[in-house]
Amino acid sequence: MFGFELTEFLLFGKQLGIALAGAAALWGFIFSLKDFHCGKDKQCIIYDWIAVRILPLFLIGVGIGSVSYAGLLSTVEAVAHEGIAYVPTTPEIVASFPILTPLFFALVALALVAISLPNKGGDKYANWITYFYAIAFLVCFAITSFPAWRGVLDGHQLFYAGHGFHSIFTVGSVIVLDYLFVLSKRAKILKEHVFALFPTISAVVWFGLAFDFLSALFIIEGFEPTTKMLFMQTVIGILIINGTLLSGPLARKMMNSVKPGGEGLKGGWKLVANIAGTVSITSWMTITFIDSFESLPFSYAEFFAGYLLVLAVIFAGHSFFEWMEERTAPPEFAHK
Amino acid sequence: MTEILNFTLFEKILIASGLLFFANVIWIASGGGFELLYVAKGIYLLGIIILATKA
Repeated sequence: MFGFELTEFLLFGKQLGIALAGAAALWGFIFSLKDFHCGKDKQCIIYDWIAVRILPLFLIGVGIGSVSYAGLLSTVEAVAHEGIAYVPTTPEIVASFPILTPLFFALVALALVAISLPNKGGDKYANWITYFYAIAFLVCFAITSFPAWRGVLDGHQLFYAGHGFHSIFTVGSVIVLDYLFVLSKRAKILKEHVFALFPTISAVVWFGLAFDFLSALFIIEGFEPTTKMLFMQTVIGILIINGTLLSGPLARKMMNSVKPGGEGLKGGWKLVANIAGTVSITSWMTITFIDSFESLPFSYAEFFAGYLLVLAVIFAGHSFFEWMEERTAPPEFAHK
Repeated sequence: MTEILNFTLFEKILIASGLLFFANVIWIASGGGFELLYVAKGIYLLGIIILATKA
C-alpha cells in the first residue's frame, strides 16, 4: 500500500531496533565505565543510576529488532523485487540470515539475563552491567554490519556494512541523547551529569554520519536523481544545520545553565532547545525510515508534508514526556 | 539570544555543508548532476577532520 511493503517495514524495524539497542549499550557502557569500581562516592552512584536507567531503552530496541527479524525470517522469501544499484537484493538479505540468527539468539539471551538478575539498584549489578553493555554493543554492531551478505568482501559489501552500523552512532545515539535529556528533567544534578556528556555524544553522531558518507564512496555510480533522493538530501541538510545549532551554541548554553551560579534555561532558550531536539530526532528517523522503502510514489511536497506532520506529533509527545518527568520525584541521591 | 549565532570554525564548516545540501537539491531538480553533493560531503568530511584533530 502506497509503496510500503511488509518486508521493507520489517527491515526498517530490524535496523531501527538494533541501532537503538546498540546505542543504548554503547552509552550505557560509557556511563557505567565512568564509575567503574569507584565505590559509594556520590558521583559514582549517579553514573550507575543513569547507566541502569538506559536498560529499558536497550530492551525496547532488542524487542523491536528481534520481532522484526523473526518476521523477516518467515516472509522475506516470498518477496522477489529487483534491487536498484545499491539496495540489497532479496537473495543477499537471505544470505545474511545464517550469520544473523545466532547473533540475535545471543542478543535475546543477554537481554533475558539482564532482566532476570535481581537487585538492579545494587553495586554488584552496576559493576556487572559494564561488561554486559560492552558485549551487547559488539553483538549489535555485528548485526547492523550485516544487513545483507554478497558472499564476497567487495566495495558493495563494505557499503552495506558502513550504511548499516552508522545507525548505532546516528539515529540510535540521537534517541538515547533525547531520552537522557528528558530523563534529566527530574533533577539539576542529573542535568549536570547528562549535559556534560552532550559534546561527546554529538561528536559520535557527527562521526557516524561521516562513516555513512564515506561508505557511499563505494557505490558512487549508484546515485539516482529520484524525488525520494532529493527529499532525503533536504532532510540531511536540515539535520546538519539543526545538529550544529543543537550541539554547538545550544549545548553550550545548556551546560552553562547548570554550572554553579547558572540561572537555568530561560523560556525562549528552552523552546528553541525543544524544537531543535525534536527536529533532530524526526530528521534522523525520517531518513532511516524513507531509506528502507524502495518504491515510494510520493511527490516532494507530500514527503515534506509527512515530515512536518511527524515533526508536530513528536514535538507534542516530547513536550508531554518532559512535563511528566518534571513532575516525577527526583532520585534519592538528588535530594540536597 | 544572539549567542545562538556564536559558532566555532568546525560549526561554520558544517553549516556551509548543510546549505550546500540544499543547493544540491535545487541544482539536481533543475537538471544538474551530483557535483554539489560531492562538494557538500567533502566539506562535511573536512569539518570532521577538524573536529578529530581538536579532540
